[in-house]
Amino acid sequence: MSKDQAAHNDSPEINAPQARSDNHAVRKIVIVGGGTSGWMSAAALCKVLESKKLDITLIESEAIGTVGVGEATLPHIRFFNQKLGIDEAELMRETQATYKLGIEFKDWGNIGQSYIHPFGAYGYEINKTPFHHYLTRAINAGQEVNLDAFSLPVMAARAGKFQAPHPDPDHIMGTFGYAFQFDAGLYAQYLRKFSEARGLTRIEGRIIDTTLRSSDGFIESVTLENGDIIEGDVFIDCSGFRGLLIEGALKTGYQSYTDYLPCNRAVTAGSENTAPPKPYTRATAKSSGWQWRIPLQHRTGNGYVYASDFISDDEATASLLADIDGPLINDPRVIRFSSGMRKKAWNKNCIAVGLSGGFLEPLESTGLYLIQEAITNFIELFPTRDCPAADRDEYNRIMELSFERVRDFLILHYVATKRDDSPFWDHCREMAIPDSLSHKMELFRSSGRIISYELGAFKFPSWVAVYYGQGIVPDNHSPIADHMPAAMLPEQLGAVQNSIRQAVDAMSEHNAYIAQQGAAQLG
Amino acid sequence: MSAREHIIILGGDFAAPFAAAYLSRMLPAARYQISYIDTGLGDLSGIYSAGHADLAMVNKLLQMSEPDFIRRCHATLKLGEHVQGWGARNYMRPFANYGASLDGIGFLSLAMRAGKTGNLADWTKYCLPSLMAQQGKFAPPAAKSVPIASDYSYSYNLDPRLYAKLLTMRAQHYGAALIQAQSVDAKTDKSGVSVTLPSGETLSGDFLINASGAPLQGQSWTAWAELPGQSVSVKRAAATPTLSPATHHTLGEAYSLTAPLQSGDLSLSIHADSAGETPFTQGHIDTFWAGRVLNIGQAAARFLPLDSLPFAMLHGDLERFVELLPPRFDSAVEGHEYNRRTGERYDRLYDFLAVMCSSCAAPGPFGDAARAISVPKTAQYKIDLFKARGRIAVYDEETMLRDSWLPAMLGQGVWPERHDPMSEEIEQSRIKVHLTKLAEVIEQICAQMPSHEAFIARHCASPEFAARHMKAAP
Repeated sequence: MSKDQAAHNDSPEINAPQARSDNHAVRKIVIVGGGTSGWMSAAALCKVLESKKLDITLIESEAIGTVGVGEATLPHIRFFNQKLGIDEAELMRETQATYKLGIEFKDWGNIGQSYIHPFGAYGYEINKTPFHHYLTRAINAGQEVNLDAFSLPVMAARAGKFQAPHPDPDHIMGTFGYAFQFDAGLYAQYLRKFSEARGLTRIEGRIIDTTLRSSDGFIESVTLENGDIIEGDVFIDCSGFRGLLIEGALKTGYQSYTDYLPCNRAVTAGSENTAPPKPYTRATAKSSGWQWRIPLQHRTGNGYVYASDFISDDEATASLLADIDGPLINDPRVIRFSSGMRKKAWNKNCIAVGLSGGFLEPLESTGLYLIQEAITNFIELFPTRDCPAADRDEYNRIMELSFERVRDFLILHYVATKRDDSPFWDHCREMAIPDSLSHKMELFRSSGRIISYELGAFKFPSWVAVYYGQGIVPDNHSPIADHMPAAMLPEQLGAVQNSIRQAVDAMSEHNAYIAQQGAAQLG
Repeated sequence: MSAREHIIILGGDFAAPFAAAYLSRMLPAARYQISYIDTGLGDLSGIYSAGHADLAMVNKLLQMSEPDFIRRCHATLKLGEHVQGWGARNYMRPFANYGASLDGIGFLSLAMRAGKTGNLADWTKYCLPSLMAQQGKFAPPAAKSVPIASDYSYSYNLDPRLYAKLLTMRAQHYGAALIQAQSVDAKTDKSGVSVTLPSGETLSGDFLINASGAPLQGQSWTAWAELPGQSVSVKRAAATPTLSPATHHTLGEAYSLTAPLQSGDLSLSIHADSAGETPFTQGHIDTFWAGRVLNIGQAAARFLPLDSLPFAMLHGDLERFVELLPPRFDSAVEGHEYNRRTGERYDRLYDFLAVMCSSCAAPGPFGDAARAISVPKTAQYKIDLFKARGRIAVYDEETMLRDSWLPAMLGQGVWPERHDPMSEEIEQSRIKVHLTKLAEVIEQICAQMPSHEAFIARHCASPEFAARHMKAAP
């Protein structure tokens, strides 16, 4: 920096210099796009920056639709809401939410099979050895084992029951987590009210141009259709698949995962409830993809995720409709996508949150989770106005790992199958998979060991659930499990089953619990 | 299940009796038979005089009485690592965090906003075990969930030769066979292991744990040639009236690890040249687990014993071995995973040593060699991110957690240029009150504690120490 420039430090024409004093703090954040990602970003930023005199603006156009369909979430969303200080019962009412104990996977390992991936581990450690080794030992010794019976959330889900967990993790009722199934559009509206009450400026308008600063290529401003120019220090791109800023303006590039995740379209439709909502999401494997079923208080969300190489849009739509029980409440709509992630989720002064940052099919309900990760990591690495490389590099390193690890976990669902009833499943069974996954599967097959890692949504219990649920039982158990004499094994397993059965018997019906805690006001 | 599998532990290093006790406790006797061939302990066993944070847990697992263990090993209590000559000033790396957070904002950012930057030594008053160590005090942490008073842990300085005897007895108690021999000849192939004793007797087994202190013949080794230190000398001093409740890592002409013991300090000096009697070649074996051989302790890796990492690595390696114990020893996939993770562990360890060496402040040949080290990309990334904004990048296989890296960076003079902007949500005046209160509470708790020597005399003194302490007491 020349002396001349330093002397004009306060002049707005001069770019943010390298020094790190308070007058280089971010003054204005512009969020481009509403939808779930835009409003989750807005709410989180408004909350944590509440006392700073920071200008937070969100630009959205009602003319541009959002992808938002019914959303199933992961337990992480509860921490997000808690951080915002949101009352859970109020949120349940406002978003027509139901509770979620896990996801049922039907017909995945093979047609006719069903398992639930619960928010909680099977059984408990004995002799510092995870419970599934004892299950493996029993199965390989020829004992008949029903995996469901060793998980409280699975048994509760099957029985249509729900009750908030006990705070003590040593209590049997404290051994699980839960999430929500809610209307993502209503959630976004709720967060909009939340953000506007905290001083956020919302601008209705369509962006027609982006201006980059010549000196460093940072985004300087966006121009609206009516000619207004909106400047900002940091831009959060929540514009959806097209990535208006991150790709349109900054040409960041996209890392495709389609070699591993062949589904690239979804056809969605809402339907009326025909029975009380179940406390879990269902994902049913079909001839060329899978169909979701997300029960909310007022309706059920449905969608068929498929690979267009194997089925046409019309066929997929017909298949979706054939598998919906209640009357439709809207016309089916086709969404196109491409699994993958932006090469740099944070490029220059632009952070891509939501679909603009990357997309992974909603098989494990990771949509909102990845938005939450994107925005909370950005807050943890909140930069100065010059968006230093150290902040960006660390953010991108973390987000890349988060995406890749979810990706590998999703691929497992497709490759751990015996299905051979369609070209799609033949393709999945035989496709090449990343080394990071084949190594994990090989180790599990040999002796049931799960590879742990520092970052990534799905840990030990999730891998166990999907492996066993899709028919991969290890050839051997950990030798450490043999501390227990063989004769004691059936008794020990029986004791776990009994305590779970008793706890589930005492739980509330899901519907009754919603009515008591967070029913939406009808009529 | 057919016949038991036979695991032979080849001794020579402290790692051997440790493995013998740990494995005979952890592995089901119905499936494994363990033999420990005790060939004595090499000169480098002094490296294990500095206990790591989890040592109390190990002893508990091995069902040892704590006072009995301390007494018999001439051990002392240890609140952390005292580091001298590495950074600009001396500092403590305790088994605890410095300071306390406020509204979810970490102490580092609070301290930076209060202008308390520049040297970690100035933070002693914000960290109970650091203040205890400075004042030569010791008391175990309070029962669970008392803020500050229960927020630290402790370990031990000990005499490895005495601890080895105790561990050997525990191993035998759990069913291990002890074989004493001067030297042995070990051979392995695809189908098994055979060890020939000086008597000519041959022991055959299914798996060999090489804890002899050196790789077996034909195993390749990657040298960490840039790390300073070529030779080692060991010194045992006469008993002293005061005992520091810490391990001392002092850098002058040489780097010395000093473990204060009830029977007198045990010091191990690592020289930049060949001045010490025992050569010290740093590096690691290329294949930690090769077929039917697992290398642990000094046979797996040799490096500067900063932060009591030799003990932490030995314990970690054994835990990982048990976690990945294969169904049969001819299964290869578990060994591959062990090698992948262990390799990463030692890479992260090297990151830490590189940070310590490259930032070392001491003049002299050791310091010069240390500063000349090239810093790996992964370590440089950590330094750069911390320098920029006080955040520790955490990789998958870290032995040192985020909270241990923080005082290492600060103590070595790596200070962030920016504080966490979220900390600005808290008013300056509240931060000031928070810091003042914290220091007051810590001072009060510390004032009520007995001296380290008095604590030992009351609870766990060796007969010699007890006698001396009685004489010294007024």
